[in-house]
Amino acid sequence: MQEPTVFIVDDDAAVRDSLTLMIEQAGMHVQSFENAKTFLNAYQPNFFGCVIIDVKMPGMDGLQLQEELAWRKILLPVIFLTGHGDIPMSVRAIKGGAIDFLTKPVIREKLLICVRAAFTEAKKRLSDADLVK
Amino acid sequence: MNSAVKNLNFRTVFDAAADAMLLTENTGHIVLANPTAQQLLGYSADEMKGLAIEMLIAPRYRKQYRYYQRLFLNRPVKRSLSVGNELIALNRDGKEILLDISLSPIKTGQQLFILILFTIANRRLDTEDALRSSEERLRLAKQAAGLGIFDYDFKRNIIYWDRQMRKLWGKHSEKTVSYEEFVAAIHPEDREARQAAIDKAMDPNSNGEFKAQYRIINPINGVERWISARGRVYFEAGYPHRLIGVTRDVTEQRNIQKKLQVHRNETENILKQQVAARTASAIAHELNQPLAAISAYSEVVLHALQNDSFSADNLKRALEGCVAQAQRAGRSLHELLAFLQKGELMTERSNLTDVIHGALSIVYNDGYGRFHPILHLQQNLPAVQCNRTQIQKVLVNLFRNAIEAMRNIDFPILTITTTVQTVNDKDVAVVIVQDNGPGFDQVVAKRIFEPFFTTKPSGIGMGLSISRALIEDNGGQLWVDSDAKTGAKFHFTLPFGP
Repeated sequence: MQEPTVFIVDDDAAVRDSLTLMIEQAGMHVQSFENAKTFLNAYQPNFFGCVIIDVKMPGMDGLQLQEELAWRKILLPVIFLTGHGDIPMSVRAIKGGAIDFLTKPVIREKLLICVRAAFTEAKKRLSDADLVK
Repeated sequence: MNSAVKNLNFRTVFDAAADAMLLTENTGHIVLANPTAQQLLGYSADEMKGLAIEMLIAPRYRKQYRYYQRLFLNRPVKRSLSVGNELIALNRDGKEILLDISLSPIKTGQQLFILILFTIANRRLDTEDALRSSEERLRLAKQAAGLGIFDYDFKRNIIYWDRQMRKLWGKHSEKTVSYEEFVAAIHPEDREARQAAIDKAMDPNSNGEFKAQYRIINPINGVERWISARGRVYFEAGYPHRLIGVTRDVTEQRNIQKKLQVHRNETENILKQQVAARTASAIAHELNQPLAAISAYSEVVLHALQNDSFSADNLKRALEGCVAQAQRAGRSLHELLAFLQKGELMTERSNLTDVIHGALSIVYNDGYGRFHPILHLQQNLPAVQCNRTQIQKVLVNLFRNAIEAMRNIDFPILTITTTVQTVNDKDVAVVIVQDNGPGFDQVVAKRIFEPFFTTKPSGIGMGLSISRALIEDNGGQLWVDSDAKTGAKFHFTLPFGP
C-alpha cells in the first residue's frame, strides 16, 4: 500500500508552512493548497491519507469543501482547523463525517494523534470500499 | 299651431340655443356651428365649417369618439353620451374642456346629418361643489382631526368649549366652564408650565401665540390623557381679551413615541454589542492566525532540539517564520490601536512623489504579489502638508488591496496618478490609485469604507475605514470611483503646504 499523505487546505500561508514543517518532521508526507479550488483541481483518485481543512476560507469555505468531497465520493477523512470552535458549526462538521476538530493554535501532540487516527480511518474506508467492489 | 311658431325655421332655433350645437355630415365634417359652440370652442363659423369633428377632440379621446360615431351610424338613434362618457375637447387655444355630448340623427331625404349638442361638464360639478357648505366641511375636518375648540374670555374668566373638549374633561353638558374648574382637571405637575405659556401669550409685546402640552385627568373615570393645545391671544386696546385655540388628544402619539424611543435604545444597544463582538472577533482572528503559525513553528524547533533530528535549513525556516508571524501580529495590533486612539497629528511638508515611491518599495519588498506599476506623477508638484508615515500607510493599504484584487489577472497593472485639483476654491493634490482587477458594484462601493466591511474572507474590514480616517485627519478626502469601467479607482486629496 502506498504511503499516506496529509493534505492541508488553508488560505493562510504561514499556517500552511508551519503545519507542513510540523508534519514532515514527524516523518509524514504533506501537500498543501491555498484554497478549496486548487485542492479539488489537483485531486487524483490515488490520493490517500487525510485532509486538514481550515473552516474559514475565501471562496468555498471548509464546510462547503467537506460537502463537495462527500458529493464527489472522495473518501479522505477530514480534520477541521478552526479559530474558535463554535458549536453549531462543529455539529454540522461532525454530522458531515469529520474525524475531529483542531483549534488554532494547534498542539503538535494532538495534531499527530488526530492525523494517525485519520490514517487508520482512511485504511478502513479503503478496505470497505474494496469489499463493496 | 301658432303661425309664428310654424314659421320658426331650424336655423333660427339652432342659432338661438343656449347650448352649443354642431351639425355634421355622416362623415363627421361640420356643416354648421351655432354661436354658443363658436364661443365655447373659440372658432369662427367659417373656421368650423368643413372641419372634421374629430379635430376638436383631444387626441387621446379620438379613438373613443370614433367608436361612438360608428356605433351611432350603425343605428342612428338619439343618444346621450353624458353619464360617465365625457369627452375632452380642445378649444382653439388648445385648452382642454370636459364636455357632455349627445348625438341626434336628422334625416332629410337620403342625407343623414348628425346634430351634436354639448355642454361643459365642469359646470355641473361646480354647482354640486357649491352646495357643500363650508361650515359642514369645517365640522367634518375638525372631527377627522380630533380637534376640540376653546375660547377663553379673560374678563369673564370663563371658557366656551365644544363637545370634543367637554368629553375629554368629563363635563358633557356644560357649554361653558369657569377657568378654575377647567384647570382643576389638569394634572398638578403640568399646571405651572401651562400657566407660564398662557402668561407669555398674554404679554402685549408677544405675538400672542400659545402652545402647551399637558395631561388632564378625567374626573369621572380618572383616565389620564395628554393634550396638545395651540391658540392665539387676541388683544383689544392693547389688553389681552381672549384666547382662542384648538386642543388635540395626543396620548396615542406620545405612547408611540415613547415605545419608539425604548425600541430605539434597545436597537442601539444591540448594535453597540454587535460592534463590540465583531471588533473582538476581528482582533481575535487577526492575532490567532499568526499565533497558530508561531506555535507550530516553535514546537517544530523544540521537537528538533529534543531529538537532534532536523536539518538546519528547516530550523531556520521555522524560526524565521516565528519572527515574521510575530511581527505580523504586532502590525495588526498597531493598526487597530492607531485607529482606536488618535494622538496628536504631526504634519510636515512632504514630497508626494517620494512618499509614493516609498510606499511602492514597501509593497515590493513585502513580496505581496506581482504587478506592473504605471506612474503618472506630476512633475514639480508643490509639497503637501501631511504626516508622511500615515500617508504611506494609506498608500500601502491601497496598493495591497489593488494587488489582491488583481490576483487572477494575467497582466496586473497598478496605475498611480497625481494631479492638482481645485476644491472649494483651494488647490489640493489628488492621488489616484487604479487597478485593472474586477472592480466592484455599487452596493459594495457604498459600504466599502464601513468598519468591518470586507470582501476578503480573512480580512477584518478595517483597512479602508482606517485609511479614510487617516486621510481625513490629514485634511483630505478619500473616495472610490464606483463608475470606473474596469478595476477599482481610489482617489484621495491632500492640502498643499504653506
